[in-house]
Amino acid sequence: MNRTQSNSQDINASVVLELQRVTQHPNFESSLGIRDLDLILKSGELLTIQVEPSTRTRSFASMIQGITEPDQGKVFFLRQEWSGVDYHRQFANRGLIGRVFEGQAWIENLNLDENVTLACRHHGRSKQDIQESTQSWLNHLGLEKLTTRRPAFVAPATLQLHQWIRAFMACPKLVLLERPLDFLDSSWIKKLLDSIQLVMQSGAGVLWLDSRRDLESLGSGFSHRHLRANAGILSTPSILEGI
Amino acid sequence: MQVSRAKPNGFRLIFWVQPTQILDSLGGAVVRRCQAIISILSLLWASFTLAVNPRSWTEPVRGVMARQLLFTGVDGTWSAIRFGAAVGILLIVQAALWVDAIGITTDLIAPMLWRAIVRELAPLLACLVVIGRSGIAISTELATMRVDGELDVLDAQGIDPMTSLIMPRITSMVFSVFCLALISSTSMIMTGYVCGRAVGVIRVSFLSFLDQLIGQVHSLDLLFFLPKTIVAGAFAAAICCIDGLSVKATITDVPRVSSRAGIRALSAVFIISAILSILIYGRILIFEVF
Repeated sequence: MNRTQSNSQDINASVVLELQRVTQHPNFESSLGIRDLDLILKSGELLTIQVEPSTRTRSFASMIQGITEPDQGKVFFLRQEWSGVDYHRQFANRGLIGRVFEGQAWIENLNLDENVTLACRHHGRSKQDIQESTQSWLNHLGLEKLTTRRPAFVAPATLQLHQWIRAFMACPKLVLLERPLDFLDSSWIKKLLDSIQLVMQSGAGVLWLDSRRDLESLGSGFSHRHLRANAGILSTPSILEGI
Repeated sequence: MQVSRAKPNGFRLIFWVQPTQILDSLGGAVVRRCQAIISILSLLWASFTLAVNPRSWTEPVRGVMARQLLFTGVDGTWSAIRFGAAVGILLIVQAALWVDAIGITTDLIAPMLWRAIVRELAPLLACLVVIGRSGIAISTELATMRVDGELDVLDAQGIDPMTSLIMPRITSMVFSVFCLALISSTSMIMTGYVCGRAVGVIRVSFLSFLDQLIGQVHSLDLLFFLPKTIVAGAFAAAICCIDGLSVKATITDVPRVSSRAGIRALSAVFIISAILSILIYGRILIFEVF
């Protein structure tokens, strides 16, 4: 194998997420729509997408995870198209994505600590590994321990912090952050940026969707690109603007 | 004077409506039934293939299975015993009436109890208990999870809802129906004996009564008990799960879907019991079919 081929493979291997000519019409009036979007996200890279406050990002994030199919175009995760891999591989691949959800994020009949560790336990990580990982993220965020109550009885800010832990502790290749600072005051911005730095150093690509006005400046310390949705629609020209 | 156009009565309606429309609606109903049965069988097959795969039984899935077994099987035990006792009393009262009315000997009580209980009543009763206690609850739970977007949350974390929610619930319902059928049949026989002894319909000792019952055991009974509990339980569970997941995106649909699931599951249990009786014994009531 010559050096050119090797370099080419390295470049290919570092692509975490790729969208090719993706179009998705909004499910609801407030959902984020996609028109002819080409997008590449590499490991160690942060992509911020600015949306309007009224725009919901959940269906877009679900499409990136292969839960729903786009109306047109292809979505690749780790260079595999979602519709091209078998059912079990799809779930295994989704286990490599950490996500902070917008809206409902919990299984209501499980305690919060069970919720946070659910995916790791399901994907066969050892108890000790899970405990160490959880403790490490708790320490990093300055929290004492995971809450053992049901999500319905926990304050929104605490729920949001538990979402961070769940998203970051899964050793993700891709992290999807949907308005991660909702319900939290500005003192948490630095902790979030530090956490993003940590997961990016471990090789993850991060996609951050938010309506904050300072979103672009927040990501300026990283290998960073910024896109902006116009009138609830995200399209390739926005990328050119961002570049 | 304006004459209003007379609406046709029931008989005229057949000729008034286009025959093709009747055929169309009949055909549509048949196709919908077939689709429903196919989706139930598909769900059961998928659950079976997942259940026999050891890799499906991750720690959270085992936890769901254990909780469901506790709720459906263990917590349902007292209900099965109570209902069994009540049905045992009803049976023995009827037996006493028949003894008085047509002068049959009391020796026929044990075979009658055995056939009625093991072949028909115990599996049905167990299904009723499981549907009432758990089937409707499962349907409500799944419908609420779907409306709240909890299924997407599982999916997004790489956890297959089929493996983690549906399969353990169907498996535990099937297992619970079988166990509760055994418990309720024991309860019926014991209560039947005690009550029969008290009213003088049964005049033999308990051991002799048991002897008579065991003498009635036919290989077909054992062959019958297992599929009747398992097939009926599996269908009931699958219907409750499918109906729960069929809910649209509003919380107000949940009660309607849950009650519909309960009725459909009960209907399925009765129909399956009848079909299995015909297939195994070749009879409907006293009429020979084969």
